[in-house]
Amino acid sequence: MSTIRMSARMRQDYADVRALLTHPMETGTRRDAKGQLVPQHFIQRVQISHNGKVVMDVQCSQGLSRDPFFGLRVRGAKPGDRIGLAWLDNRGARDSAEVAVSAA
Amino acid sequence: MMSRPASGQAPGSTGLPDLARRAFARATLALAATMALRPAFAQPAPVPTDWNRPAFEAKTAAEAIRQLGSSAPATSRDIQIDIQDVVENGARARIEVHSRIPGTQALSILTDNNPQPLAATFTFAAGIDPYASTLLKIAESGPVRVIVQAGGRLYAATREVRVTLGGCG
Repeated sequence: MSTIRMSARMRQDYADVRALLTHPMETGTRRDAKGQLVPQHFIQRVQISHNGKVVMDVQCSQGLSRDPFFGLRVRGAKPGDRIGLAWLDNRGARDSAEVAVSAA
Repeated sequence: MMSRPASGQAPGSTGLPDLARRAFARATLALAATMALRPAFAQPAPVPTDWNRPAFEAKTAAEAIRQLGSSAPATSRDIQIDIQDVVENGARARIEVHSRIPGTQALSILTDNNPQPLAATFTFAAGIDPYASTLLKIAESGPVRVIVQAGGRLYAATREVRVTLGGCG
């Protein structure tokens, strides 16, 4: 159903983390081909962790783009460290993924 | 699917042909090894469900900011907002935000002219750069605001953004 594409690369003394999620992020104001309003459907919560410890916690809304993107910098990370991402949407669906930090 | 041998059954009496049994044993060993190597944190804790509904459902930026904790955040030059002055596609507007205010705990992004302006609140663990990059929907031209929470106070910065093609609906 959904996919998470994530990379984490060392840049100087931090890991540059980029994550692209697959999600419709429906605003609730869009109409489909039949003129019916498409119900709101969006990611509300995202957590990004470094070796299991949450480093960035996100609350968000339909104001983020379809297939939302998140970028952050994890200072003190080292090659091989684990970066995890987990999300939850307004219908209770969840997904998560994990990658290892790669050298620059 | 192969059925598991009943517990207490003697090893080697599963009734499977020898080759299949060996392949099964190898697969089991490989799986066990993989699981043993995986650190305990491999299973992420479930994301908490708390969500600042009053702020996210506010219809104006002023009301959303009030719900974030202040009606009059101090304007700060130490909040950097990187976004194009003219955004061609309001459905996917790249924004990067960086706070240089000491003790920054959280930063929020608001798009004034969206039906519900608050797009996201990012909260950072101690020692993590208060930096976030994301893609916004921007319905029409107007201010994009960033509210920073640091040491129990709120600070604000604003950028005017012109949108060629609106990104909501």
